[in-house]
Amino acid sequence: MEKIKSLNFIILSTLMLFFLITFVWGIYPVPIKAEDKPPIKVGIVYPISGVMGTIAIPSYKAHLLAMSEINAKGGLLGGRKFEWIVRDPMGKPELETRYCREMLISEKVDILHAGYGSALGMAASAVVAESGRGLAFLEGGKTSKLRNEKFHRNVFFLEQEDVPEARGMAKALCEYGPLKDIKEPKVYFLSWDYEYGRSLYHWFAPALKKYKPNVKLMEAWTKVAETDYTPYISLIAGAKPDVVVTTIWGGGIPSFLKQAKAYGLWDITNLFASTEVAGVEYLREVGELFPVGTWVNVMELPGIPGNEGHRKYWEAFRKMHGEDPGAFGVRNYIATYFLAKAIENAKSLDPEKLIPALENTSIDTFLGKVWMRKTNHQMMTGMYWGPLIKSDPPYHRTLDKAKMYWLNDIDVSLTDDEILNIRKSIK
Amino acid sequence: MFFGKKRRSIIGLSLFILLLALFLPVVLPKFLTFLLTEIIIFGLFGIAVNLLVGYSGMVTFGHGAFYGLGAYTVGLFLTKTGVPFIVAFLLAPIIASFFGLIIGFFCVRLTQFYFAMLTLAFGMLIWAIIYKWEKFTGGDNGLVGVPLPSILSSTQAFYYFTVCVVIICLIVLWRIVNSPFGYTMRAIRENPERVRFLGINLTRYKLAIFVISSGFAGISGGLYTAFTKGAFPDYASWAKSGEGLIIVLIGGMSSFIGPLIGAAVLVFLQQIVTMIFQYWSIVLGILLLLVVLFLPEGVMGIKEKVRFQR
Amino acid sequence: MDLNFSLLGAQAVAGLTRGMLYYLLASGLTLIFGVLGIINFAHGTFYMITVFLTITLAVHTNYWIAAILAPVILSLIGGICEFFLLRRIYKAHHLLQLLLTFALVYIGVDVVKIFWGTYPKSLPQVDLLQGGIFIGGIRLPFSYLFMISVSAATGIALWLILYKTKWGTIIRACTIDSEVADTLGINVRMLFTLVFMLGIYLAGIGGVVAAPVIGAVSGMDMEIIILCFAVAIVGGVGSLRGALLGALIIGLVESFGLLVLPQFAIAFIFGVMTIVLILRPRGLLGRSAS
Repeated sequence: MEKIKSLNFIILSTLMLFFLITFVWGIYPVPIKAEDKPPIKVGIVYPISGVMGTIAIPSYKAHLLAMSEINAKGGLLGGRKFEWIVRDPMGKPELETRYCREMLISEKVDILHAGYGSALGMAASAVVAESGRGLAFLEGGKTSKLRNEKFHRNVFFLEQEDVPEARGMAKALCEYGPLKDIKEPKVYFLSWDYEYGRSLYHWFAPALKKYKPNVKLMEAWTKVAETDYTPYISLIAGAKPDVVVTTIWGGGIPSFLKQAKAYGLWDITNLFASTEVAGVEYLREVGELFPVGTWVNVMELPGIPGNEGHRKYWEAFRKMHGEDPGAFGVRNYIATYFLAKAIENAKSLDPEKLIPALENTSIDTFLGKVWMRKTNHQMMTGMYWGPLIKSDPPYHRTLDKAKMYWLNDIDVSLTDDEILNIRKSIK
Repeated sequence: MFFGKKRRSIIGLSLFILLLALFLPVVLPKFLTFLLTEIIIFGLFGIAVNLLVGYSGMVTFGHGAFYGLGAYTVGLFLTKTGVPFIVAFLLAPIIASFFGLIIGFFCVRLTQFYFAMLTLAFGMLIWAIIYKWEKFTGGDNGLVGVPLPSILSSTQAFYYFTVCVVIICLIVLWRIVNSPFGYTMRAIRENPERVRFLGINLTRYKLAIFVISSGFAGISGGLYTAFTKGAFPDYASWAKSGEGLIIVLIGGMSSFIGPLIGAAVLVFLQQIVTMIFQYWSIVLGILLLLVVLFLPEGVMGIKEKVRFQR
Repeated sequence: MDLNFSLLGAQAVAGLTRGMLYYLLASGLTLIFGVLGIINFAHGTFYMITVFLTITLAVHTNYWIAAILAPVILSLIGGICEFFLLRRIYKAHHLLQLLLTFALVYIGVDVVKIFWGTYPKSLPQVDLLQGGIFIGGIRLPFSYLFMISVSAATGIALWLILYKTKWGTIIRACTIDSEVADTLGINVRMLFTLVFMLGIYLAGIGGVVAAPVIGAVSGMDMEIIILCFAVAIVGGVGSLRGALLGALIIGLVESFGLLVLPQFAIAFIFGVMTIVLILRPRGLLGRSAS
């Protein structure tokens, strides 16, 4: 009996010690060599696997590119270089919370990139509020809820907000697109039933009604990451709308486009595909399936804008990652340069200095002016809106340069007063 | 014979671990304290699941639902009403076991495969309701900003709170599994026919253990919400139920404390692996395969292997 | 919304097609459970990998060659899994059986990630499957017709094998009592392997017919396995006719549920599954759940 008891004891304590040692060794931040300048620590918590991966990966790669370029040019603040740590929360809010805590509290990163999608964004935002240090850039949560209700000084938003996207959609459809000359149009809104879809609809419907008061707006909500749209397609076909507006992305796009084509949906109606699904990451696979004339919003495409800065970005991205940059990448590339300028302006990484610097910095990029809106910490840029036309392989589609236009987000966003009113009404 | 040899070794071991648990946050960095808290909460969940799996032979695939119910009880009461924290926290096991009563009522009549399927179905139903009832639960956004009382706001304070709660739960659970009731459940696991022959109403006993198990799962869910100050539909998913089963397996289903060890292994391993390697899922899958094939009794079963390897 | 014939008809067609895909998967699942007694959580994983593999093979050769090769390859992989892994746990604790196939799911997730990355993939257009026909004003795309006919043909072939051949009789005998079959001198171990491979082959066919219609994306394994369980439960585990009936019911409930309660369609399915398990655990056509 004694032997068993001590064996039991030994085994357990050995296991526990083994884990603790390996663990602590792994967790303790590596001490920096004395002669190096302290790095600018960046924590990246991106859902590289799972549903969000399609969006997270190009963003992540673009960040890496920008940071490497800045490091190669000598870094910031007199030679300090970016150093980054990456974690993949696999789409789970528990892991998002854990890794954000790890980044902010254990690794003590100066900048945290996190929050892909509204649930992860909420989780990340909560951790920032809790930790009271560091700055966070939330990437993928488009919902205005995060910016209005859950606003926090240390949190900034890079992704295009739902308000300008939704209003931009209404403007594009009614002023330039398929609904331009129709007095009483019929519009079908097809979306996954989740925060982004709902919030987009929330802002789209009134904007659309302003343009076309007699519009008949119908809705169909599918489950998230739905792969079978056939029942919805027959519903939509039966209603014969003038345009179908979708917020589908990721794996839903190949499925939806294939099924829509099989059902001949595009003989009956037109398509508006939102959320930048006309990026090369999609066109590569399903470019030919987008009906010609599909209206989309994107920040860039091969050759669009096509100026020197844009070409350099493409070359550099191709060189570093061996693939063409996905549409979601450029925003984060620009954001890192924006951050770099703000850091130089602030001459420090201390949030107390960096926050006002971010709020007051602007840069000129190959996509125009980029600045930070003080009221809701939303990074402001713009987007191209236009119909797709045929182009050469491998992408098969591109924007019609004759009909596309650039819209600055600020022109279709909420005003400062509106934002403050929303916040007041929540209390 | 109260302090017989076996009792002494258990008490000795428990004291050692307790002291370690209380001492650790003082020396360890904050993040590790976070991880330990997570492990302890997760371990409680696993032990609750093991009441059914290990002690009663009822493999349940829906316990994530009770974890989620406990989590959302705490979350909803604290964000939508003004009740004090302790009230919301105590409501978690109450609500979870209430649902456990309803769900268990239907499930315990069935055996093995059908029991697992029905617990899965109920689990998914609850998940779907939490996910879809956006107006009430926040839907896919989850609930955030759950306020905690200020005494619990520091990492260490919360850790001690968790340790206290879990120790109380463990004492209660230990008494339960080592009571006549607990032994009856073991007998039911081994030979239900014989137990029925003794005049015992199997269904009632099974229902009782199901309710108890769901209550403790609810406590762990409530703890987790307080820990992350948020609740998400993910907490009630079948993936969570699966994780509960995994830590039971890895730790050892024939051991009381096994699932807690399993939780430690899983959390530590995941943290270490994700720090160096981007493919965690395959590592977990291979680990599971190895445990199922070569160490089915789990970590706590190692001592058995050693014992019999004379 | 006009509930006219063509809308109802279109929804029925959509539900029917979806149901036939579920049938292919559920039949494999139920066969494996009926004979081997194992709940194969990894069934959706094999399906998912088949879709990805079909796309890759089709890009290098063509769809039809891929359609023949892919299920065979997956079936072989399934056989390897059965031989080295599953065989050891037939008599093991229930939890071990569950977690073994669960482990395969976790492995499958990263296998797809490693070999195909995380971007969704799409099968290049199959010329023969473009276009469609109109029946009574309802459009039926050829790709859907293909799915329905292949599933139906598979169902018939399966029935023929099980009821008209010696092997089929043996398999059915094992479904009832594999120990007795063993004492009759039947090589039950090899039979188990073959049945598992057959089940995976069926999942593979499902993947092949689904590829022209949907995109391949990670996460599709989890999505489909839950539905397969629902189908198997509703129809009755261990019964192929049950799998067909369950599949059609679930498929149609999904399509028509959209017209009635779009928001809660998914809760609907779980609700149906729950109710069946409560009221009639053995399902509509299954044997008794003792």
